[in-house]
Amino acid sequence: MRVLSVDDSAMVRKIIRGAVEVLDGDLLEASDGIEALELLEKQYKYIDLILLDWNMPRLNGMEVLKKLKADRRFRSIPVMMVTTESERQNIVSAIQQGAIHYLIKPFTIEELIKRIMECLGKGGYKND
Amino acid sequence: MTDMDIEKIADYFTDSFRQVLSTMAGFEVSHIACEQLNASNENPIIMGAMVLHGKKDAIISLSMEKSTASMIIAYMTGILPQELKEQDLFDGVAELVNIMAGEVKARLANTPYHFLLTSPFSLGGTNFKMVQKKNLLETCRHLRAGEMDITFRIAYI
Amino acid sequence: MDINLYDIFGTSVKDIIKEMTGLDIRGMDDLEQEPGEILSMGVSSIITFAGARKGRLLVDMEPSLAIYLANALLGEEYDNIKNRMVLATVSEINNIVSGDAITKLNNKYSMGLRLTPPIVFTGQDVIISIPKISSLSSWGDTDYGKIRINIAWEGGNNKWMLNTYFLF
Repeated sequence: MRVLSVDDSAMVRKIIRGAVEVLDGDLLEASDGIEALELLEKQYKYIDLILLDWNMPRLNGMEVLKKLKADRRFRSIPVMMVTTESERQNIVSAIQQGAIHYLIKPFTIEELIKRIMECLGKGGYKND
Repeated sequence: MTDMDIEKIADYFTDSFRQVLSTMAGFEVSHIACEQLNASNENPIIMGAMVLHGKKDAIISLSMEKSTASMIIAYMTGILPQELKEQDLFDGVAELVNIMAGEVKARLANTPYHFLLTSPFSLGGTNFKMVQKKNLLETCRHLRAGEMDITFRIAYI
Repeated sequence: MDINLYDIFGTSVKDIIKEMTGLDIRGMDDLEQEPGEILSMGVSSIITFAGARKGRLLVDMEPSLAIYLANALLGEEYDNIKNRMVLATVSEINNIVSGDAITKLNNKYSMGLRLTPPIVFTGQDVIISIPKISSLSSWGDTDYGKIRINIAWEGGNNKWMLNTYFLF
């Protein structure tokens, strides 16, 4: 299992790394949307799940999500938003754009692990 | 905006911070009145801050000793304090502010005090002094988690 | 990246300080990329602006220059960098510089920018950690000490920005 975490906070990426390691997975990291898209260009075939922050410099999470869903190569990769944006309209908007889950910060590590597992089941787990 | 409004909003932030630390680090936080507004400290301090853009703009900040930041980030990430780099602490404290503000943003939606988040930033140093414009509507909270002290400030502009 | 969004602040800081105190700033002609962390020279002030885009100006200077500017502007003889009036002077200079620069940007690009009042801080070995954001610095020198400005603009479109009329 390989997960891509896109978050401008190194601390959040470290927390996510801890959760992914509990699940015996690998974590790839990008600190903003541009970095994420560059990484996906090379590695999209090997990524099973994207955890995407909303507020990031350069290219924010919603812009990334739209680009992912508009690109035939990336659109089947499940995306879970992991963000502080907790207003209902934002959640609805992200789901409408194709996110399959929405995790609001703060979260417990147990909650994060559970959601990752749900996403992999729901989005189609590609076993390597 | 009245004194009562800002005190209520400060309580929202305090509640949010308490929830962040409880959920992500397992710390229970209590708060006590904060009397000293422009405190300086001989120990290294890290401060995370964010400007909130709304009908009335505001600045919020969380200040703590570096050792406190180290302990909180260690519990949140599961990484030993001695293995955390200084940049991890700056990043972590800024993210704490970000998460705290995100929750309050949703809570204040559809009220006159709704705001937009901006990028948080961190400051660190010793014998630190921060000054804002005079006559701001401001308040603070002194937060305590075990033996760790954290100061939250909010100033409406 | 539109360089006008950055170099206009260098012009404003030179013009405003010259106009207010008669002091010339040498240099401040080039823009350099900054790493994530900035070590303050002694006194720093941050102001943010929001509108069609969000941005931030950091004005950073040596304590000797801050004290000179406060004394020149207020006609006093301050000698302590932690004096509230010295810090307030730096803050006010940042406010005036930013006001001048964003007025020009608003006139030129219809960006609808507005300022928040600045914060100013001083301390020993103060580090300013700015999140990963496009930020450029410009350095200058005066007879009373060095000055640096650092300008950051947040990139990307958000839904708030999509509702504006920012066109370039």
